[in-house]
Amino acid sequence: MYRYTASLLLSLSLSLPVLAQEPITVVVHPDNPLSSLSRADVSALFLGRYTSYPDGQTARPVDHAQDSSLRASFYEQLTGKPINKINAYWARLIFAGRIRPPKQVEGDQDVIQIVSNDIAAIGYVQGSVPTQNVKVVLTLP
Amino acid sequence: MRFLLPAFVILVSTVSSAHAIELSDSVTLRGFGTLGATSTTADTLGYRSSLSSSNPVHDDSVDLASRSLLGLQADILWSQQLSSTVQLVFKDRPEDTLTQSLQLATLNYTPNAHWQVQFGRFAPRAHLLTEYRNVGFGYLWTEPAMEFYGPIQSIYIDGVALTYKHPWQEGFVTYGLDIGTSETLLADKGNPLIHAKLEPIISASLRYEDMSWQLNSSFTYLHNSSDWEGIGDLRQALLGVSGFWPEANRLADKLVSKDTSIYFMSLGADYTGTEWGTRAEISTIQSDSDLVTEVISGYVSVSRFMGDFTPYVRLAHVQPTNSKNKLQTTPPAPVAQLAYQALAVTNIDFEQSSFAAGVRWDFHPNMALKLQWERSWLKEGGAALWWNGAANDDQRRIDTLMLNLDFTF
Repeated sequence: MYRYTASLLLSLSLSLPVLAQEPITVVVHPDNPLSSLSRADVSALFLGRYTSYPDGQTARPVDHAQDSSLRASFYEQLTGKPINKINAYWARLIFAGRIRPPKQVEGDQDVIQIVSNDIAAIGYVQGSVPTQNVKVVLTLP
Repeated sequence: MRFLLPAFVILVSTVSSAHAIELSDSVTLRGFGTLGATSTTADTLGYRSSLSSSNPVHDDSVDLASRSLLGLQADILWSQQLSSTVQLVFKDRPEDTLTQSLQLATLNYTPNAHWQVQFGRFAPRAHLLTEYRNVGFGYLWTEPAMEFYGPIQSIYIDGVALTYKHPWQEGFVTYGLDIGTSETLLADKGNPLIHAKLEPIISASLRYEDMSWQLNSSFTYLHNSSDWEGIGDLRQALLGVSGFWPEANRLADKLVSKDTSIYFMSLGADYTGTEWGTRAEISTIQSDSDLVTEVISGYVSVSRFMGDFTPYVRLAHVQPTNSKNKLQTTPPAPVAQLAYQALAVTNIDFEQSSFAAGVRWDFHPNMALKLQWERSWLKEGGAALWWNGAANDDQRRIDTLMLNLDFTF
């Protein structure tokens, strides 16, 4: 019994998120006409409340993997709420069948690749952006 | 019991490593589930989560079947404006048909950020939880309040759902109109399973959401288009004895389900702050049929966010709003049993309160463990939300303990 309990606790501890230290940078395609977005704008897009940028153009958010520590930091800084509330919130939306969640990818490189090839895409990465292929519209401290 | 912990660890390990499956860029498979254990002090009565449930829990066992379920969902993206969702939910039901298991089957047309039209089978937006009542991971408690959600069966609508959304103040306002048909099941001990056909259902909802608040109001009209099983026989039996007892005609007139109307009105509010959360709903059910229990019900829940742990308390209450039918004359002895049986059918009441305390532990991004203790106080003659409650309600106080593993993948 103790062996099972120990293995359960070990598997749980490995899944705990590690808080990121660097700022988080929200990026869009360089040809996107918007020069900046507010925290409320980005929040509406990543919480599925709205599917367009403020100028009316369609937006396609790109998210990080469900168990990513960067994802946890991003939503906590964006909304002020713990990631477990965000996960429960998205479960409600997804299984109500009215909204599709953002596409989830593995790591900053995948985000930059998608955003740099799709004028409607919006994503976030850790720290500064080492490329001209995307444009920064918001930085979360 | 010796196999339970290993089985639990295997389930946790399996689900924690499971993710939504992207079969292609346009097809995604995902799912949700609940492994729910229930223990109760109810004896002649039986605990159940809604009037549709025919698998009650009594005080002689720990039940794992009545609240456990598995849901599978396929999302298909045909184009940026056109998508489909199909959802099957497998759980213990009085009738386990594909019709009952199919919870969602929609073609969604979303021409822009404001409008969406859905065709097919979808969930109603009558209350805060009716869209995702099966998704335990999506809400705080082990089970929604019986006093509020017990009288409302887990229904679907086959028809059209129209949604219009626009920004307002710091958030968004959503107008919803759902029109269609449905069929719901009503079960109780000793009675035939009732298939209530609802044709049409029309539901209008208005919702506001911002970073912290979700406010919901709705009005729903249901037209009952079917004769409920067993009711017609009872009515005919009464009409057959009207020669001995004239009041039988008056009582028979009350035993009508077909072409009657039911109205739901609901208000709900949810606040999720950084440290505290609260949710409350109030609802009324009105009808022109004596077979439908008219009630007012509500609950309020308060929770505290402590990292991965969320302790909570909840108060809930339901009480009838219609007066009870009474006999104006004493039935002759040969028809007395029939008369009192018919009278009881028109006087099925829900009147009870509960206090629940529990904790939710989000130990994984896709999984939560919940433990909840609930005490229910039942008024005499008001136990009909419980299995066998319409016939036997000798218990006034019942404790129920629930443990859930809720997950998504």
